[in-house]
Amino acid sequence: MSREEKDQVVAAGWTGLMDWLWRALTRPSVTVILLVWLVVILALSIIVPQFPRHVEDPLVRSRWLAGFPTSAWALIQQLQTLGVFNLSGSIWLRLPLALLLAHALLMLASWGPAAWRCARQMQQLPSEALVDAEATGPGRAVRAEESWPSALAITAGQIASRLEQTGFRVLSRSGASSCLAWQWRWSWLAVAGAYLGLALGALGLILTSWLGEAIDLTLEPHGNAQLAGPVNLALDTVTVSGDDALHPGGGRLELRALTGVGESQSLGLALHDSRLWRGTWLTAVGVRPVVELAAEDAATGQRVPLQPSVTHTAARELLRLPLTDAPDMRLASVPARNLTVRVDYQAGQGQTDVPAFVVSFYQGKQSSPVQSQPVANGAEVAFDGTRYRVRLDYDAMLEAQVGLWWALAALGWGMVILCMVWLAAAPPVILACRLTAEGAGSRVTCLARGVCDVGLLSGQLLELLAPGAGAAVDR
Amino acid sequence: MQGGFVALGSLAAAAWLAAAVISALAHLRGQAAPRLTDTLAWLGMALAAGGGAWWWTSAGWPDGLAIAAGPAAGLALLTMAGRMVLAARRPASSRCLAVVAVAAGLQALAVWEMTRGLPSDREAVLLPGWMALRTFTALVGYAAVAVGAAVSGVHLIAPGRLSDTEGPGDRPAAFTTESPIEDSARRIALAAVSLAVCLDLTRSWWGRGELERDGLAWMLISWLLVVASVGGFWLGAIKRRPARLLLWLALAAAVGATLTLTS
Repeated sequence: MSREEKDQVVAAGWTGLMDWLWRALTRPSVTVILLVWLVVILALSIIVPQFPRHVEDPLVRSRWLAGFPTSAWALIQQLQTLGVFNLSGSIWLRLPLALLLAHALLMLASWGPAAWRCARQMQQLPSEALVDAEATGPGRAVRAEESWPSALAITAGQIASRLEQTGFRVLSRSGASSCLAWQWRWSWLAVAGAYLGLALGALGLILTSWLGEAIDLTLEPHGNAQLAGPVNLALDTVTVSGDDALHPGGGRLELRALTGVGESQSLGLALHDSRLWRGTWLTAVGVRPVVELAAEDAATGQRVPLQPSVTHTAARELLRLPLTDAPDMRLASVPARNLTVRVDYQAGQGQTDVPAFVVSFYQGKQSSPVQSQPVANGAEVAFDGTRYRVRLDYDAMLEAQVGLWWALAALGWGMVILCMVWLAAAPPVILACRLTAEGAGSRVTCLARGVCDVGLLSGQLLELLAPGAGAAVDR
Repeated sequence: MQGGFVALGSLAAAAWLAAAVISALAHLRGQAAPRLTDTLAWLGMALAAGGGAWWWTSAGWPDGLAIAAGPAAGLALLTMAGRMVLAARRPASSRCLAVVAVAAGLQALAVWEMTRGLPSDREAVLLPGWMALRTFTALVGYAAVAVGAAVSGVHLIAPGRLSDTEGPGDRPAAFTTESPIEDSARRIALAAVSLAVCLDLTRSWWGRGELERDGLAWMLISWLLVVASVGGFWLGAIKRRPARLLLWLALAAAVGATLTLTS
């Protein structure tokens, strides 16, 4: 804001401030600035490592921090307060979205009526259209004047003929004194549509991050997790298909939504498929292969409790270890035997669909295994009076998007995309010409406004108004 | 298996580079580019297509496409197709030279990616079946961005060669017949990248429940920059020079998106 503008704003008080805000936010350059701002945030969110979900969990946080050198931890703590590691939920994204919402609505209010008038311009007299087109509106305007040696009526006829030959639709109501021409007039509405889409898209994203909630669910067969409020989601079965047991190509999840005491509803979901259920968008993101490990005392037949070595949970009779690349995730300890068991996956010889495992036993704090033995899927291996059974199974990974604000964002950005394609394929141009007598000849004043390359529009206008070129065009 | 692609692809990049150097030398001397440049351009296209065919035959369809080098080679070929359209109108134009240079760079990138041989996710690029349409539309859009950026690069480097009117209400100044090519490239880029983003977002919302993939993020960045550049220029929000700079940034993002299309 310049000193002069500041003085004016102070003098006019609130009215002046609102007036200045209106003028500042209805500049089309603000759209470009905000889009570039969004680009910078998106690019930074790729380049700068972002917090994983549930970072408030100390275990998740410590795992994430372990990926950095310890010397960088202090710097990470400082940058964290600036929201650098959570850009999608930070002010750096919400502020441009809020500004984009305000700007798009004001642009819609400012340009919407003008776009509507341009789309229905043929209702007006060309002289009125000339005034309208010259005033502020969407697109860029070019004005040109030229003197013609021919009389008014002949010039008007030639101009109208040239316009029709170059693909314009021409309307001439006031005799020979003026004419109005246009191309793709309904495309003016695409400009208003794009701003409406930007407003809806920004609003949808703000509301999604504010009111919506994304829940990651990992369900094991016959296990359940809370979805929203009193509703729980339970997994009945997972079936997979494909050659690679670790990376199944397809599959299906049979789920049950537990809505109340004794009330449930069955839900079937194919892998990588989504469905809407009671205002929640459920997506089957994938399946996670796990090895199910159980131990049994060979003499008594009693179950022996097992404890996962990474997560500090209580010992259980049945352990599900994720088959990830991290070997420490596949370790289980047997507190009663002072023993550690490690399970590695190996595909069946020559057959990738026949899984097999290698079970290794570590006594006490020994670093090399006491025994290491290959085991088929579902088979048992005995060690130190205990039978260990291993079986390949799958956990289901689901994402639940609670609330439908994302649909508003999808609608908005979809509108922007549609309007961009519309403008690219059918750019709107409106052209108003006024002719006045000038001695024996005539003078033509033309103003063209279009959502297109202003250089091309200038060239078109030059060709149209050049008296010499007329003969060539007319031929 | 990769040797054929690398050898033929390198020769293609070399042929295009040679065509660009010969054109540049002729341009500096104020002469028309010799017909050899056209021959080298066609030879390069044949070699690049041969390298791609070799790889896809060896790797099997559609796995051959599911590696970053595949889309990158496709982008280089489509950019050269844009050059051929340009050359049909003005064979000796300096804009042809710029497009060939950009295509040579993209082909070199494809060869480099192939030598790295990074594994990729076939499902991300081709499945479900209609995602192949997304991949092709995106490549057409990126090629149009490359052609538009290359042509506008000539304007950025040598602005005196063209004079365009800028402000609203300006009296039209000298007009050249070459601007429509840049404009057409921008139109195709805006429409094709918009459609590709639409398909990719639909897949993300409908299919995989993940919006954070690098490929989609780079595609969104490229699209937002194309919208800011082209839409901003058309609406009078920015002048031609910043619009061209934004298009170059969009090209950088498009290259990133091409290389991560399969991840």
